[in-house]
Amino acid sequence: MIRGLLAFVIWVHVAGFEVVLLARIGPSFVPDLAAIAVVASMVDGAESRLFVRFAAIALVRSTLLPGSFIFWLWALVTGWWVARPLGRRFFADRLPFRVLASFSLAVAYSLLQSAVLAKGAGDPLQRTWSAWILTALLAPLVLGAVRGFQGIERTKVARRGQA
Amino acid sequence: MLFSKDKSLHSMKAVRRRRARVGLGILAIVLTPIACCAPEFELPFEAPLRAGMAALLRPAALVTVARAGEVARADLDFDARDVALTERFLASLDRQARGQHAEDRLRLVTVLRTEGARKRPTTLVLAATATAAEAAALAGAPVVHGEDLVGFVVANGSRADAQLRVQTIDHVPTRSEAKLGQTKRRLVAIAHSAVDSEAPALRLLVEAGHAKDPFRLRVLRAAPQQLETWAEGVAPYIARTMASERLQPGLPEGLVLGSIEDVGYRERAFVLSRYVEPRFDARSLVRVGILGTAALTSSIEDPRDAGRGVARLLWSSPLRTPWRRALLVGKGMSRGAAVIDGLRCLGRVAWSAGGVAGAVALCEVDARVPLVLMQDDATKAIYARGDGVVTLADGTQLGRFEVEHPGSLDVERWRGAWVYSGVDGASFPHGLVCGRVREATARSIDVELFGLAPWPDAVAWVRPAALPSPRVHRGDR
Repeated sequence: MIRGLLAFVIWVHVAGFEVVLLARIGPSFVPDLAAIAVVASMVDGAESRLFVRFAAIALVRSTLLPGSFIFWLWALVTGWWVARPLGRRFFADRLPFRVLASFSLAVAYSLLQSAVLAKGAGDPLQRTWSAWILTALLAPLVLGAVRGFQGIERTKVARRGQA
Repeated sequence: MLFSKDKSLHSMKAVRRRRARVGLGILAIVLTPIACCAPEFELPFEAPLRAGMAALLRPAALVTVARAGEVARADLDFDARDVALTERFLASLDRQARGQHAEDRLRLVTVLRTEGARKRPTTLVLAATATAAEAAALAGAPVVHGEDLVGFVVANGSRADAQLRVQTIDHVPTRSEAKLGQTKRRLVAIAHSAVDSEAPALRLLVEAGHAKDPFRLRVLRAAPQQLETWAEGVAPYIARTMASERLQPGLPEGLVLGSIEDVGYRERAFVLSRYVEPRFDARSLVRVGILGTAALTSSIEDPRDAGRGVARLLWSSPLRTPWRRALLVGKGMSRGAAVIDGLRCLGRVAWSAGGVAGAVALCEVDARVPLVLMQDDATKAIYARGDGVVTLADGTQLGRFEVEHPGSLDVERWRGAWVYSGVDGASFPHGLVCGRVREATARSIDVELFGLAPWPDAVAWVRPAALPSPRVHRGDR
């Protein structure tokens, strides 16, 4: 419970930080958090914690960006649901998969936002090639860091078990 | 479920993961139609959640909310130029609503909101109150906008509020109204060519059309039955009311019902069915006039001036992006209220909970807003749908609106016109300056909106105007 709450607060602040970056440095150089979150969810395989993660991002985006909570939650869940079988086939923990998946998800999200939120007039968040490529490059680094943190946690649990 | 039958083969963690997978799959399927068709649809509990998000991201907001009540009244020293513009606008609006009618026979009233179907509302709720007896005395009085006949005043009936209501000429009685014996109102009219005064006239009996009809009024009888009204040199034909003491007593002649629209075979000059399309849209009407004697209309009471609340700007979206969001902190903000800076309208409150509110620009995608254009003392009420922000090559941002009513706009006439708010509920009053038309096509306008520039740290919002309670006479009890 406490862990879920903490995760929620952290994801809220990460999503809020993304919007701050959008405001400060412009949409061309800010990676798409939704794409990274979906790929991270495929890598760590903790499906029971996904709803909290997606709900936190969806709530922040519906508060500060165009689109309702339902739209953002649906986009995240559907993105994960569509990409999940690919992850199983192409090994979600491999670097090329992470890069390709995050790039294609970032592109797909831009197209989706353009089609649904702006009636085809272009991505309302104005993400471009540079943002998609940045998402693809940053995703493995972020996921590596997350994985490393999880590894440390697992080692601790194992040590506790040995003791 | 099948996977949970034999739990001995799976760990509890695996069962939980599988359940989560299935749950998320079902969620994705269920949310698909809402997310794709109505991406701005809000859940009932979404506003408090968003307010919580804002507080979580900016904890200092909570302190500001707590102190919001200590903020002094909104600054009422408006810019002199804005005051002059607004006064000119209000005078033009009244002049257009009054038309050629004598002042002692007409009482101008502001429309507060519309009721009925979302796309075709046929009841106007006026910002005026009257007791049940006064409303009953006024019932049936014609309501006009310039020379157009808008509808008729209806008695309050069993309604709890004392606000006057008007049923437009295309009103079809609801099931409950039909049970009380109300039928469609029939009007006797005569149509003349607007171009050729020598062209033969068309006598008509008109009533409200069905929802599936292509136009809003249906012609029941026409004499002559087959008259070519669409030929070049005679079209359009404009239908006006005829005086008839037996069929429509008290209705002056010459009020415009609309233009004649025919459905049939053009090359054979054969009319299958004939319709009349009124020139007004109930959603865009701001001021209407009640025709009647001075004694009758004097009982109507106007609302007091709308109050203003103060809100602090907590967060505003980056200016370069083609969307505009602002988080405001202030007590009592209501959804749909106009966010203003002096006499300028910056946007509208989209959601509000717990002293935190989200505001959007008027050109928010898919948001419907009534606007009024003013050019050289002439006004034009339009009903527009927001279409987002357009960025020009020089970096200027314009708010784009698709015009839903009227069907086409006179581009040359309205380019450069001032844009004012129309009326949409008690907390979105008319007469607020929104911007200026920069580019226009027949179906859309690009407006330099004040709301697209940076918002000041302290803004005001419109409190719903208080309606006076009607004087109750002894006979009404």
